[in-house]
Amino acid sequence: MVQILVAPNFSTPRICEIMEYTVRSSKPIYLFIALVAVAFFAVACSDDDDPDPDAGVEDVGPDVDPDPDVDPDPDVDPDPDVDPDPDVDPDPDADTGTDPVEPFSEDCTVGLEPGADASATYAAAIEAFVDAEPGDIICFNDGHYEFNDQLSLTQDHIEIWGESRDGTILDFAEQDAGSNGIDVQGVDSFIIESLTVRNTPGNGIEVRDSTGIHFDDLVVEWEGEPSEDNGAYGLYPVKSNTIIIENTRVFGSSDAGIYLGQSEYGVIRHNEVHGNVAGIEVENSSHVEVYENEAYDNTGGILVFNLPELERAEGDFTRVRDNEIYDNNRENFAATGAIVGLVPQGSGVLIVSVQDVEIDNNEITDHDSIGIGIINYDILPQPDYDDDDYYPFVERLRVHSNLIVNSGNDPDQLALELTGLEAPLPDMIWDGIVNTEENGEDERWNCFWDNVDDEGEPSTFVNINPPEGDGMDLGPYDCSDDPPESLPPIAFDDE
Amino acid sequence: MMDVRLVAITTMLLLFAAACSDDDDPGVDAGDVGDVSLSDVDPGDATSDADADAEGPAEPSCELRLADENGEVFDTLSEFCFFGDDTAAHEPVDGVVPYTVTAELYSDLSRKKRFIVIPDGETIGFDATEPWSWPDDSILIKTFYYPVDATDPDSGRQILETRLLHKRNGEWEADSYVWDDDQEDAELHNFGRRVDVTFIDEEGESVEIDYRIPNRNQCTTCHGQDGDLSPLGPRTRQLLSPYEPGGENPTQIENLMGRNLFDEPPADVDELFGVADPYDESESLDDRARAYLDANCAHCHNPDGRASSSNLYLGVDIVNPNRLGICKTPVAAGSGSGGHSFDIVPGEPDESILVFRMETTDASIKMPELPITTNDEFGIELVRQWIAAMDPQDCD
Repeated sequence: MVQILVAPNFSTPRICEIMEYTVRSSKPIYLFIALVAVAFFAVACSDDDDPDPDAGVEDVGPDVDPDPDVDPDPDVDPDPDVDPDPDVDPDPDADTGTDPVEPFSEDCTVGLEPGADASATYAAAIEAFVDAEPGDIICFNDGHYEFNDQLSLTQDHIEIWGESRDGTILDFAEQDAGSNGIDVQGVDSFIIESLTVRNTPGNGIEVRDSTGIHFDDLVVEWEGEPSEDNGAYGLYPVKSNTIIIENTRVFGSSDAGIYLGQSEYGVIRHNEVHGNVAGIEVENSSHVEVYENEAYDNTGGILVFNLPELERAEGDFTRVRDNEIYDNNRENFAATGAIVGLVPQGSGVLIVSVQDVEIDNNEITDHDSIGIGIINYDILPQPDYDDDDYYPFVERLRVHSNLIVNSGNDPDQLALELTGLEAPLPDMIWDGIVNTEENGEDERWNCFWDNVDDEGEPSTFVNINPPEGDGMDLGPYDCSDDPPESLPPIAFDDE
Repeated sequence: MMDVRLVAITTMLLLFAAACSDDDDPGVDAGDVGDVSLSDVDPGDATSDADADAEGPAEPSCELRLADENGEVFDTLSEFCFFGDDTAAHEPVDGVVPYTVTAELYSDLSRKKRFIVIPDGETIGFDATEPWSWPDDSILIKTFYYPVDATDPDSGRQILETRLLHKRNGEWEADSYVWDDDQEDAELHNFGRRVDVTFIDEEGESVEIDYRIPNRNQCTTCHGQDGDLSPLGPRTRQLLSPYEPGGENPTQIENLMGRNLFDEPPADVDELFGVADPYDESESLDDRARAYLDANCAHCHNPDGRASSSNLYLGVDIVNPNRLGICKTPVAAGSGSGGHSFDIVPGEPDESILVFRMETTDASIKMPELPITTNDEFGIELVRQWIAAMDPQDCD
């Protein structure tokens, strides 16, 4: 069921906004979820000044200094085994025996600095992670940290701060246990900011089964020429909800730099993704807004996919707007078996089997194969699936007001095979595979309007499988006279 | 395939046959069989004396305690008095019930001793198929150790760690006790540790293990189920075998029933489903492989586990071939695919990602993820045979 809990810096009013937004959507399932959620949050969204402590809702704005002494979640039972005072360490089990490190900020609960070697550095850090209690802020002072093991975190309401994004380097090149750099599982509220995660064997920062996640001011990168041996994902929230990923740079992922998977309510903004197979990928997720990012030099810029045979079968209500997407012509270096291995070299935006998605006001420039591609999973060279909950048809797609420049002039073989067309390829390519069942036709529209090139000429278009007539004719799908409403924004905090 | 476990257990049985009492209560008797102490007990000690049981074991000077006066775990393992005055011997006091599981998790060739502690007067909520419900203050104890020389029963052993899962206020918590070189007691230590282990195996070969004691935050990797820690081994499907594989004594479910530890014990134990022993070659290949996958993979690969996002589910109850990995494409494996397209290609173990990930020790690829550092050659061979025996199928 719906588990929207509010992180310390996610204000209640915005969650109420999400609730209202959810209510407005028409799908019965959402209506049901919304009703349950609204009932759940009725107290939080009211002016009741005695909020139900069981709702787990805290109304703390992002500007409020987190106070580590205050238990932010009345439901959490702080582990009394753990010393509540970070400045004193009477724990006889403590291995390191070193003096406490003076953290760079007085808000920090515990400070860390690099040790003599990877083993010592890891030992000090994992002690801080294991001992962390809700409300704690773990701080890495500037320095080059080498780790030989994964940093795992399972406690609620923890923040991890670096002193500065380019000065606090967490380097996992020597890691030989666990695959992720930082691994967070099953938490309410997690914030990580202002540091670099480098050279992890697996994913850079993975957060799963969690609620209220904020990635801010981070770098995740693999040094050297991007390779199949690099980790799959840089930033990887999965099976989670209420997620903000902002002001990050991700380079070198062998799958997607930023990957939001099987999740709900996400904002991905102001990030720079390059040198990955996919720059940003939203997969089997709902209510996501991807905006004002810069995606370049990947194989594909931004992907919105919905795949079968996953526990979460929905991929919908995602908006990709105001992004700079250019020169994503890197040779595909994904491992065999990965779905992104099917991304043609030189793809700007790819849409697979999602509903209620909006692609608007993006600058999509210099892509050898595809500017915007809209694909039904069923035509991909993938095995048959057995998934009654999965709906492969792209519907209620809004593609508008994009600037698409220099697209499809040197398509790779995969793009030619997928489209069955010859070079040069049009700016916008739709496979045209639609649901032909009777009833519900009114809900099966897709719309394209006001997309132009740098001279103001309308973007070129093809429906590969038109029901009749010329597939290059945008006419039947041009909604410029009566455009559908845009998806409402997703927002969590006061901006 | 040599059944190393059977050899080890037979050795122990021979050593401690004397410890079996003539007790005429079969339920309790099964537990007593479990009271095998470990092999470095002084041969002159009463526990190895055939007549010892007739006189009854000496009363320990300590008393079993489930927590300290503040309700916290103790700083040292001995303070619980799980094992009386000789903590290292692991001979449980009354109220500490030894058990084994039918299909074991591979743990870098280490051996394990497991015990259940239920507070006085409390019972376990029995369930035939789902995890049991445990009363507050229950403790599950698991000790990991190696023999010094598996060919010499008198050579002693090296205990590395004792892990506790204890239930408090409705939730399980984990704590680890690490044994020091003196092997007398273990200290609370939740930050993990790497230990270089050397032992002589049953073949007389010296084996070196880079053993990893996990830190507390890593417990959720396996024990995290739907957001909470949860026990894995002690459940009905794993306890329908005797304490010793191939033994004649009653099943461990019956042992627990004999101790009145269930609220509503099963009416007919024969009706219950249990996994096969993967090492028991009289069982079918399919049952053995499925039991192995259930014990070694399904704690993550189930709808509530860490690997739920993969939609690869490896529990014994899974029937959908795609969920089991047959002709299933990976979701987020990255280089973990090893250049293969499907988790399992029937008839083709060398084309199957499942086998590829079991056969590597590369941290970014290997399965299970944590904490082992070596491959389970037995498990790899079993899963290989299982896939090879499947009817060939073109997955593309």
